[in-house]
Amino acid sequence: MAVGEWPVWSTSLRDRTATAVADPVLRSNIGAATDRFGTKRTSALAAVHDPDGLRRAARGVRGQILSNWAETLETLADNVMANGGHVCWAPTGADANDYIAAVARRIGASTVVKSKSMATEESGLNEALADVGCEPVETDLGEWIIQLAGEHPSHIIAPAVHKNRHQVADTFEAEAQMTDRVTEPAALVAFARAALRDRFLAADLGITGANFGVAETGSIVLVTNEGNARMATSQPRIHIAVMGAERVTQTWEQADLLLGLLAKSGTGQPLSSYTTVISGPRAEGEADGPDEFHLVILDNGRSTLAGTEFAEMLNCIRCGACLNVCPVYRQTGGHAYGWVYSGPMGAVLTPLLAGSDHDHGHDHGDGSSNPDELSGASTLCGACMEACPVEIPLQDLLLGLRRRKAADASRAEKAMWSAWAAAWSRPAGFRATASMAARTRRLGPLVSRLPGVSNWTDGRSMPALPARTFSQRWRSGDV
Amino acid sequence: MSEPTTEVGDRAGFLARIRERQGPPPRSGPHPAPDPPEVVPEVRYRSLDDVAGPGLVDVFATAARAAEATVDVVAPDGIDEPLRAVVETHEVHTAVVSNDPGLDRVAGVLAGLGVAVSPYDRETAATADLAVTGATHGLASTGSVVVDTEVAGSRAVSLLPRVHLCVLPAERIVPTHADVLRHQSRPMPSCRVVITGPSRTGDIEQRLTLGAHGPVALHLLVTT
Repeated sequence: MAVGEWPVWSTSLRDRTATAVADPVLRSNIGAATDRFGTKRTSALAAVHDPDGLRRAARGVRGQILSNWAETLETLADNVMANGGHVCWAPTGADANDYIAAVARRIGASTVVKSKSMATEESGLNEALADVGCEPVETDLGEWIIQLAGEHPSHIIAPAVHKNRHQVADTFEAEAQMTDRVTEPAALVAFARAALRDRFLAADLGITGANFGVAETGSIVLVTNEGNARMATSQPRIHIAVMGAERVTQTWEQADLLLGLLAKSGTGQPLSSYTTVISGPRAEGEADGPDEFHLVILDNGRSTLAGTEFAEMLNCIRCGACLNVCPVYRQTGGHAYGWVYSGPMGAVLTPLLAGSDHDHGHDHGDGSSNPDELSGASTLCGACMEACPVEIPLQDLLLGLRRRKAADASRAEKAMWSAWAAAWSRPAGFRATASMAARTRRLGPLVSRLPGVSNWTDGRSMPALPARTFSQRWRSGDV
Repeated sequence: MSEPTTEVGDRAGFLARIRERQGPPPRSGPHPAPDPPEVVPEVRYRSLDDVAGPGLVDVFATAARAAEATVDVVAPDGIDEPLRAVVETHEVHTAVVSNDPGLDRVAGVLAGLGVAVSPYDRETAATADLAVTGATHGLASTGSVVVDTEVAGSRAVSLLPRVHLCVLPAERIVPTHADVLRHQSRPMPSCRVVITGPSRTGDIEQRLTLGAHGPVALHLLVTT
């Protein structure tokens, strides 16, 4: 899947899922990775008292912050500027890209190093930078692999989880001038370290995301294991952090609680290797660090969620725990979801962000689709809410999206469901349909060949209908 | 650094779109949102149950080792042997030392072992075998150390060299991240990093590999 083809609404979810499920490497890697993350998460949370109480408190805290969202953002921006940083308010992804491209042009940047950032995946920043002649280099190992391969992340925190070591080696040979092929993970990492270190030292501009923006001190927090965010914020002469507008806390107490849950929920570590707190550019007398620090605050549809039944989706801290426990994600991996975000959180967030300019209709009839169909990529089992560190009721939100989609159903479909509801609301109607089914049971196999119902009947076998209905057997004393 | 700060974009419009919609989360539905807690709770680690004072050092060492760091706990006059072991194990020939006060003796011992010791600059650090820094705090529950730019003098001294040696006086060990993150100094240092083990990645087949971009090894020298 080449870069630039996202979001993928030219194919249906059904087709994308079928492709994913038919790929044995992907299924085995996704299965192993999600199992491992899940196991480690369980033991990391078992090492603290009352993890469910902490998750509940974190939900309350996120609600409190977003009840005061505008004020919190205002304080954050004021304090970032008081610390000597620059602030850009970006209503859309294109606004963020334009701002960053303008900074890159001003300083004549040729190499740009990027630390992992889902917000810039959303805005398509890499393509925008390439358009102005910059070479953006992803530096998270997984992100770099898929950038070289021309693919997209398949997991929020493990972007190349769908590839095995041989596929990684293939990519390095083809796209990163690896001449002596190695396939051991340690050797592949050493190759990447050397290649990327040169880029870090040469880069003019470092771009990161932001796990949190802490308003009271105007700080941003970056969490990584590899150290690439530390590189991107210490070596280039300009650092730009791109933060989704909802990723704020009012206080350090709040940030401390969320940080205490983030790594445990995501990778199952007590803390990630590096929790970096940036409060402005290089200070007087320091030997390194950027001359300029810029914070780009990205809306890109987020504000449209506030005050709606979907508002709690804004609480998400992007840990990936819901992906690992989701029975749908665990079979398909992330690409089938068609956009940047996958798993339960992606199935909720994608229609709300990417879908804001789509109509909420069904199948377009030409095999294409729209993001609302993602609400169907769930069993509503609720494992996601149980794993979520901020207890987002993801299954309720998915159900809400299905309701929204149903409201736009075709007239024929609505008429059919009302007729069914009317018939089965009366005993006579129920009996009539039941005995009709029993009488026509020999026609059963034909049902699966009726036109227009193949989505229901493909892959399912019709149960054999008994000759007499349950009511008839009850009355004659057979049951 | 002394350039005036700028603000780009329509702050008022951006915030107005949020302000007109924001409010408490929905209280309807099968799983209504709870009230915010009156006090934001701290994460309480089971490893700290009934631990106080000097016991923190053991908890710290255990947690740091679980995060793939190596740890020595020694008296202040006992640093020579651990330093010799670090130099031999990691084949250290060059070292850069941060601005942290109190590292003179460590630098002296390293020099005595034949290591070329220099203060931080980017080019030297990028190829150095060893970084030597102090830490403002150790966090017992997670085995972490806190390194501030304003003390260390640079952001990357603890990042660029192949191995990071951090010297931590035992009395700076506090129970958890809450004891540091909730009591930030004002103004904040331009960069503060909480380091938990060496740099790592699991991005290739979930195989833990140390030394992705930062140090391949972290050695913690706790002085009592």
